[in-house]
Amino acid sequence: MPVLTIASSKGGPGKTTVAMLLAATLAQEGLRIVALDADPTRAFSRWAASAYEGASFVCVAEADETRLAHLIDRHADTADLVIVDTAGFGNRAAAVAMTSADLILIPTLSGEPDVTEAEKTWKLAEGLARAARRGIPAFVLLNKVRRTTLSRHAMAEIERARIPRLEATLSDLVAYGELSYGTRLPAAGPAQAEVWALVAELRSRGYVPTSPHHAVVT
Amino acid sequence: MTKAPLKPRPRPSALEALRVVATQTPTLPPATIERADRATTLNLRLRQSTVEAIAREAKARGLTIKQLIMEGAKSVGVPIAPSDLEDRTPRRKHAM
Repeated sequence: MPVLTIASSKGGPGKTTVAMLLAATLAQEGLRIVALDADPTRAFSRWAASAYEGASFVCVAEADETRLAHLIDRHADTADLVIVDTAGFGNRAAAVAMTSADLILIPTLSGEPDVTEAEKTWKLAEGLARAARRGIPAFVLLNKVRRTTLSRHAMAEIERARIPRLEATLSDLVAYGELSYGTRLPAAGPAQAEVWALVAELRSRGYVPTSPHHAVVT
Repeated sequence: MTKAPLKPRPRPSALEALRVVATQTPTLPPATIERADRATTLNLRLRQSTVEAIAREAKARGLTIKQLIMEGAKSVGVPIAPSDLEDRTPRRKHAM
């Protein structure tokens, strides 16, 4: 089943938040989600173990690249989706997770250093894909977007660099910041709508399996 | 010139993914660096009678003082490094 790696060589673009949102939303839909926390800060696995109270999913913290590679192998056969959250700097565990991925999401903010690092991450993904001789789609996901000239400029820069970008974006909403302390997903409002739009786009592109609740019963 | 798009292929095995990363990005650091378990010192201020009693018991058991204390700590569940359970007394090469 698909492996979705969330990567960026820069810290702070919202990798862990995106991982939390996707894991919790898809687990709520009834999918068997395995989240692998490859960031040595263990922010995701700490949240999953001590704060989160929503639909359950398996979460394992592992930042060693060899053990991570085997964990991905093992869980990809049994889970509906494996989500790997990686550390915000170039490291072997992140590279292994990118090589093993069926989709790489690169969250990025709108500043110049963010867009530059997103491009660097995308090029790393491309290099790993060529070395592995397999297509590994990688998309930028704009995060903390405000309706400003800066955000429009960032989008234009990403397009100029010919980096594929998801149509879905995440806004600069307090609900996402609250999630790291909170127990549940945003239950209403623009945050929920954005997360659903993100999941819908990933599903329409074929990277997220259909939820068992969406299956047609004959 | 644009590169030819890569075909979607099955996910590589763990060993294959590790090999790709080792050859494609050999300079990338590991995500975590394991702390070296270096030797350090522990000084204990004890009564002379206690030291003498420990030394006597160690000699009777054929152990060093450190080994005896480490064995005691291990027996109550303290995770003692294996090298701290060994007799590492420096000896001359051809000493009888």
